[in-house]
Amino acid sequence: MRPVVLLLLLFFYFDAFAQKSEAVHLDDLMQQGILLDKGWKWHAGENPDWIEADFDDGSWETIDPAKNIADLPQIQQAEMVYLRLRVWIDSSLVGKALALQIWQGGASEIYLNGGFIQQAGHVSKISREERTYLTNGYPYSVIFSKPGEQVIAVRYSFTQSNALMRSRALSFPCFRVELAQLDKTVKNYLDDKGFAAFLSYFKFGVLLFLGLLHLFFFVSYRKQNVNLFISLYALCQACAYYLDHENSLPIGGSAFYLNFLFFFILSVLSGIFSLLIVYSYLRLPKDAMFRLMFVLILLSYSIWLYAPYFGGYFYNMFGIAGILAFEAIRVSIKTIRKNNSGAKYIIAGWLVSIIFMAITYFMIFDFLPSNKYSLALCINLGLLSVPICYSLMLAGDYARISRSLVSKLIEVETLSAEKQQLLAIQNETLEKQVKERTAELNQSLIELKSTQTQLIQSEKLASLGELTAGIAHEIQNPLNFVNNFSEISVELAQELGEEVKKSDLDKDVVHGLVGDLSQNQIKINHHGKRAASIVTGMLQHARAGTGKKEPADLNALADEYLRLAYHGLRAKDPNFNTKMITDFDPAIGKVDVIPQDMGRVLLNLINNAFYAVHQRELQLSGSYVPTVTVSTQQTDNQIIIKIKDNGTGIPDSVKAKMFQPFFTTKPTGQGTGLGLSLAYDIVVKGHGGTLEVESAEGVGTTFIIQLPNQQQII
Amino acid sequence: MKILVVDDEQDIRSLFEQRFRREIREAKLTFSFCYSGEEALDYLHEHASEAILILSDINMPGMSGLELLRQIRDNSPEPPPLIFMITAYGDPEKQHEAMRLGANDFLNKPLDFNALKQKLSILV
Repeated sequence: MRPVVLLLLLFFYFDAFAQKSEAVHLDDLMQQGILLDKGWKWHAGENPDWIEADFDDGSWETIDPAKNIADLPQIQQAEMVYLRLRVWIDSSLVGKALALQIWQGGASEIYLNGGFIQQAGHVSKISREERTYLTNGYPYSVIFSKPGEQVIAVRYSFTQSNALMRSRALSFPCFRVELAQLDKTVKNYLDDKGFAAFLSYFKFGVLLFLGLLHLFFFVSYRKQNVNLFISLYALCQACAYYLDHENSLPIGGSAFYLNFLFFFILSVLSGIFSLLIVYSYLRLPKDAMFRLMFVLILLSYSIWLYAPYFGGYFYNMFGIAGILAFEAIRVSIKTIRKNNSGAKYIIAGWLVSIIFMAITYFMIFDFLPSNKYSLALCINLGLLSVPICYSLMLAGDYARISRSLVSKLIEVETLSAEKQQLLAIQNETLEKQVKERTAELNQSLIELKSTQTQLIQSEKLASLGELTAGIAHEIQNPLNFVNNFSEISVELAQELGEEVKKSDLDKDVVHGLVGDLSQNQIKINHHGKRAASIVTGMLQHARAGTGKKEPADLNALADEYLRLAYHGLRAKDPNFNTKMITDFDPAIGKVDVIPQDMGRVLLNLINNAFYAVHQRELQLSGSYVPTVTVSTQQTDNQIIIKIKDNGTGIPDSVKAKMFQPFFTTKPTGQGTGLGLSLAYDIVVKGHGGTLEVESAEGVGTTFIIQLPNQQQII
Repeated sequence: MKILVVDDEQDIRSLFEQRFRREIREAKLTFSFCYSGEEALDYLHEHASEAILILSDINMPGMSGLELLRQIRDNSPEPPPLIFMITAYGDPEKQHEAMRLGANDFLNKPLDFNALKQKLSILV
């Protein structure tokens, strides 16, 4: 393209020399447009004439409306102003489709040479009627129909009374306009907005994803609050970026208000959540420093809201970010000494953010070369590094926990394998031990049985021993009689022989002698039999017994053993004496019993009775008459044998246990403890009867043997 | 001389009567028999003034010979009877007890009637 010098002369009307500002090549206009920031005049108030081309604005003050409203207090004060600019348009530009690319923080109507060409928002000096419209560089088309001086007049209002909207609008230029080629500008505008939209949606997407991911983590495991905070932080940021993008498009009125309101709230919340994430993750107490930071953040937002000119929009945003970064890095460094690897992620995130934000600043202020891509890259890396690092921090934790779990699992598996092995060995040992113990127990059982047999035999022998003394007495008496009567009989026989030899045979004497002799033979025979029967009884008692039932005279049996027991005891203690009463029911006749066993039972019970009365006799004196009564009785279906004494009686504690084997109240060595146990077995198991006891301490005891009557043989 | 024999064996009477048949026939000795300590006490109560010799078994059902001895000595009848204790067991403890209670002599079972006759002949 042939370089044609196109002059766009900015004519300062008030200057007498109609100042030509500078010559601009068509290429420049083609390439980037011209910022119309010089030669503007302004006046507060409302007058329709001020739009006219031929109005003399020589008395008006100059202004650079491209500045932010925050820097133009006169505009804020005036609320309704007119802006006028005179430009010289080269003829080469006449009829060309040009663009007025406008940024503004208020509402405007644009006139060219007195004719209305565009409206952005609704201009009004009444705040509620005014509709602010942020054009955000929207290209409005304009065609210059004639060459030479052109008058651009702008009817402009800024009446914003709403603090929120005012604060936001103040950070926008009052009225910044660039003149450029329409098609190129539109293309650039669309490219820029498209790129910005892509970046916003990309951030929105990434943060939404992180937010939902951590929300899911939190829902899955609610004990980790930090997931919730990261989720909320990311979701707030996501929405804020979405709204911020909306803000970058032309927007006005309530949409703008709500949009910015939510953006503001989300920014505040994300700041707080960011603080909470750090404190919660590092498990720090929410101490004075936390509260201070909290207040500082709120204070920063308040400053931003009410004093946006104090440093401007970006400065405030970065100020808040700076507070958050400072605190996050401060507490992280504090805890990193405690080997908290997550703290490294926090520091890294904020450092990356700071670095890229710094680069961004350098780029914005042209300390570094940049284009929109490098700038966007830096900004977005700066913005996303923190939430991503937060997420990576938890991912790192999960990974570490997982690794630790895996190693623990392996450990547990190893241990479990070892334990199983150990268990197997132990089982084996245990089994072996059980077998050994079982064998030992079996052996013990055999020995016990053998001991039991021996003990039972001992009990028999013990009772036999008790009998022996009585038997000795019982036997000695009849033997004495046998001896004496036989000796006397010899004497009598001699006397008889002598008497027969006499010539004067005295028949009476002979008769007497013969009678005595005869009587003596009977007595010898009687006492011989008596001794024999005692021996037989003793043998019967001592021998194991056939275990067979046979008809026996229970009365005789009871009487015999009563006497034997008595003499047995007397043999041991001659001082012992007792009254013995027998009351035998002759109707009983012979009863089918095992005589040795039943004799043992009777002997045992009678011995116990004697023992009891003897014990009581030792306790009492004088009038006490020890009495043992043995009685038998036949009822319709039972034979009852009672052995009753007026001895010491049996305490209840003993009653409960006295039929147990080896239970004895006698001093050691005097009783086997098997007597009553055997008696019980013999009566109950051997004869199908019952053995009961009635006893009262200090009154006496009655043992009652009940045998079924069907055993009776008449 | 009057002799009271105390023993629970009924045949003791027949034995004594045959053993001392000559002495009885010649009225040197007169025998009475009791079959328990209680009976003996009753007898002594009834025949208190008769100068007698008592031959008593120790082992008897009911009142024992030693108890009988103790009661006789406690009652102190006049004149005090001679008391010979008889037992089947040569038990020194029992002998000692009998002596302590005031027994005049001690006889072992089986009774040696010749020795007894000798002792009685001295007394008569």
